[in-house]
Amino acid sequence: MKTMHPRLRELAFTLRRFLKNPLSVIGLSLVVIFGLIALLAPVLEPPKYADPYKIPHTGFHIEPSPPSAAHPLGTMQQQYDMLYGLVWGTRSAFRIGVLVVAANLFIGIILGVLAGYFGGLVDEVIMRITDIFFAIPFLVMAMALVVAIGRGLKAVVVVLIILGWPSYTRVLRSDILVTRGKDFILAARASGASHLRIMFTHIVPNALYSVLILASLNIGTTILTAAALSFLGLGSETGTADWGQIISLCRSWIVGTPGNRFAYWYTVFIPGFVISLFVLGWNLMGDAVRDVFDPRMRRR
Amino acid sequence: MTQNLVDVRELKKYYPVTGGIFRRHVADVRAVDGVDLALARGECLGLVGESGCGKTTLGKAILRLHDATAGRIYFEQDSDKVESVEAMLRSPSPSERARGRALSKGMDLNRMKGSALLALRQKIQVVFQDPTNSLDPRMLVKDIVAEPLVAQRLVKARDVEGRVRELLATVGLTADHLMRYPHEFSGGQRQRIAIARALATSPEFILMDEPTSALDVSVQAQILNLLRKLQEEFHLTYLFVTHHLLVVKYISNRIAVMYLGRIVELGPTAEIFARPLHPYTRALLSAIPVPDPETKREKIILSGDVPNPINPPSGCRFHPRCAHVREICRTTEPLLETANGGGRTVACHRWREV
Repeated sequence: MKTMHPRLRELAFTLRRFLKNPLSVIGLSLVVIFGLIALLAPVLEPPKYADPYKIPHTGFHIEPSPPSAAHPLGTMQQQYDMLYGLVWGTRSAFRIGVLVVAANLFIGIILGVLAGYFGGLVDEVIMRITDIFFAIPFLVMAMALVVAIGRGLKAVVVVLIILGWPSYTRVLRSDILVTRGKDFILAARASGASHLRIMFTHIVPNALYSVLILASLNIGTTILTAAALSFLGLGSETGTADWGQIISLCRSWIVGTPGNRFAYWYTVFIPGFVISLFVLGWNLMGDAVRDVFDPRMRRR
Repeated sequence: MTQNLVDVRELKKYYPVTGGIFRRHVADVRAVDGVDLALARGECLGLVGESGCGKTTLGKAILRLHDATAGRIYFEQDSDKVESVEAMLRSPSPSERARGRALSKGMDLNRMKGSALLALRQKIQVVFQDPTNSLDPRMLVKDIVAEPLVAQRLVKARDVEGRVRELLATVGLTADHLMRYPHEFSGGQRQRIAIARALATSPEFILMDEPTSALDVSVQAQILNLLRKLQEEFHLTYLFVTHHLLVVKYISNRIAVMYLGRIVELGPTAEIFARPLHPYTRALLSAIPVPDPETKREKIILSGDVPNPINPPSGCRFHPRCAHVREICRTTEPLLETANGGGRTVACHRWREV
């Protein structure tokens, strides 16, 4: 222990704190399980077509069929295989979530640093732009933009990137303003450190936590929004392995038949359950990351 | 050639107050309002006064952590030159004043920029009040102490660590502490780290901004002794800002008392403690507790609060709270005048009588 590099020591401490909390462990396990499913998708469900994201379907019969030996989780409308859709859908979810949040972080951090660093007019302009984004209901704006760009999964990703960055920018900017007033910044200036040095060795490393916490919380939410857009028919094409698409295929079967309200329970319950678990996993992870990283909760 | 290490003239720092949606400039908070102060090389000048009187603002202006609104700060300038420039600035003829301004440009710390300012950062350093706040929590001690050296490229990269070890030894820490974070230290140790950082560039002048106020009483004494030792060892000059009078009595050669942005009394420590001249200084000194329950002493309780620095009282700034107020105090502002010889000055109309 004594010989460990202090950065490693901090990391080990952080990990121990992380693993002490059962909820964080549950969150982490869920995310890891989904990650494995996404990684092993070609092994779990070998693709039938050249494009693995196309769900195979046996026939065109409109009515979903319940779980059976051939279709362990049943089929959806037009006999699309549920298990295949969910497994490859996990891959889509990771691709969308990670891509969107990474891009949001990138844009958000750059603009947040600019606003917090320069202040004045630059700050004013950037902050008023974020205000415009916050003033319009997110889903409405997203739908309008997707339609404007042209439907499809790519359009959904682009739109989520365009719309997602303002919250990061805002949080980072305010944390930069708080950090900027600390005495150690004054001490660095008295030491003769340049503005750039102060910005990148003192202010940003100390101001970045909230943004990282926000990012880990937002992966789940991003997937939910993407699914909502697909559900509304604005996302992927019919038959694509994407969770939103699966729900969209099942939405006519929510109610069941007059005599048996739960006749098609599997079409609603199974994909809903999977999406909930995924989002729950990321949320628990985000909470855990906050508990571990938040300097105020860290130590005295 | 005689020189004062630091020579502050007519320094003012106003903070603008804006109002309305157009952010119009409506008033100024006069945090520092015309201060003259000179520090000789190797001395420790205690700057005392209650919260909000402008003592920290004054210190930060000398460090150029913020820019003063007006006034000159001379650092390591020849006294004769300073006097001649100041005389020009006071002269009635506008051309003479312009000449004075042009001449003072190269000498005035307040107007320095870029590399000239950076060169001075080497000689002027600071220790802040609360070391929990003044040390970057995400940096290792070795990086914190090395920061001035690295930022100003004073030492070759491979020599930095050796210098840092040396500095830690000077302030009573060991090489074991190099690879730790500030939160792993006690308050006193953290302040030692901050002091080591201030010493890194071998400065001549260090602003001590209440360096012991955030520490336990037992640790305060250790830090004060350390500061004293360092001052002798490296021939440092301190401006010691504090509101703790006994600390100042212990460490300072001279004391300057500030009230509402102005210096009201200045003199050698022993004399000020023995015979304070300004009524405000008397009130301050009478507030020091005496560790003897038998002693009966006259305590001067001031009425009211410090007036608003946006709109300071007319005449003497202390007159609304002064027990010896006369008509002249309300109308005419008293200037610092020499009193009793021995380098004492006081700004009071009635110091002879009261």
